Amino acid sequence: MRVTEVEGGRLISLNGVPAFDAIEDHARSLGQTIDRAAPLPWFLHNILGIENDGEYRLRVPLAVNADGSVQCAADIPVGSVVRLMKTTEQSAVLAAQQATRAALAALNGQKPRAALVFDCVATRLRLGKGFDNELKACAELLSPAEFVGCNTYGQIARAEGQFGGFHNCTAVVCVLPQ
Amino acid sequence: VPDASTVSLVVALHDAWARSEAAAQLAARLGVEHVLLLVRDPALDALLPAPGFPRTLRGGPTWRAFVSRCLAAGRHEDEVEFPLGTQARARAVVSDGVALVLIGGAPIAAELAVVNSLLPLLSATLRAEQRAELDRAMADAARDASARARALASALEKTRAETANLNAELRGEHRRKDDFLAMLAHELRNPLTPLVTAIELLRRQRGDGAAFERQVDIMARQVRQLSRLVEDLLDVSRVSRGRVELRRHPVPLRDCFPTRSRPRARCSMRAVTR
Repeated sequence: MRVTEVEGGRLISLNGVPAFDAIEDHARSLGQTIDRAAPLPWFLHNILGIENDGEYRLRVPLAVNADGSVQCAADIPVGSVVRLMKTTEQSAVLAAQQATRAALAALNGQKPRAALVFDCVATRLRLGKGFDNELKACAELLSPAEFVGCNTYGQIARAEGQFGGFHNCTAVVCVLPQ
Repeated sequence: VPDASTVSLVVALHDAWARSEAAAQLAARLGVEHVLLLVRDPALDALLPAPGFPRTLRGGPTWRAFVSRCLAAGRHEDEVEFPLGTQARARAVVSDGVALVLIGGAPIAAELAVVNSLLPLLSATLRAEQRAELDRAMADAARDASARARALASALEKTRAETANLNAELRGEHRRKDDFLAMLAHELRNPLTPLVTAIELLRRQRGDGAAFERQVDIMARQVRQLSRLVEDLLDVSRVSRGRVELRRHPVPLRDCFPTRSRPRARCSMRAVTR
């Protein structure tokens, strides 16, 4: 869907119609319904992905405003293409493993001493107890180094080739060498 | 012969800035409530409001379904909810990826025929405009990325310069410390020669009480000097580790210049004023 109107973090319209109407039509086409008064459970499993050079930057829709606009955690550029994206617990674990491996590779052969691991609060709410598997996967790769971290309302990380690094629903790992 | 006023209104639709106003006047001329132009997004299978129209068109589900059907070329007609809360008859002519949508009323056939005859030319303009708008959005995103890259490069350069300054300061401090240690080593060595000599003389002059006393005095004095130097060295060490606190308070000068330790006091003053 094309982002046709935005005001800050308020996504006003997609494809020229109020954003929530466009999202609701999409849900209906899949045989699903969204509770307009409490849309978060559906939003947690259907994240907006902004296309960016073949990759996606994720934004969690948070609430529906009275005018049919959708409140997001951060700005979405006008003219960009967004898709409603879903994931599985297995994919979330794989993504966290990929982030951990990338951080370890950046040590250039040095051994890890400790690490910081952050992920979105939405990921934890979506995965429930399954979130433990994501943490377990990070722990196995980082061992014997310990890690600390927390769930956040947004993650800031500049991966290679990125100049802006605000993400949602993204595992971010920082490894400190010995 | 086409009506000149209708033609001029369609011509005005070519100008994005005047489009919304021209569409309202054309609606009145055609005898309908609203005239809208939708353009097919080349990257997505969707019709978007043409530049110059409101970016968000608020209608009910029947309106959205009607717009979806308008992706197919030809003529479409249905009852829709547009604007929100209003039921109206919608008619659309779709050609070359552009939909001319008339809402409400009953269009005057002759006037509509004039508009339809000019639609292909208008379609070409609208498609070009939309491509330009999407390109502009991409250019804005690229410009934004470029600005972020510049800000990042600037921050890195600032950090690099600060690090270089810090390194220069550290090198200076290190050099001064080396100089001090070299001087201190020299000063520590000075008392050793008379001590060694005195010890040797003592060894040779056993039995001479006066000479013995003199050499012991020399040794005692030099040992005290060595002790003071070692104390100074310890002070430097404490300062380096931040364990010395300077306390400012008045000190009587005579306490600083006892007769026997005048040379030592001068030395201390020099060190303080450096």
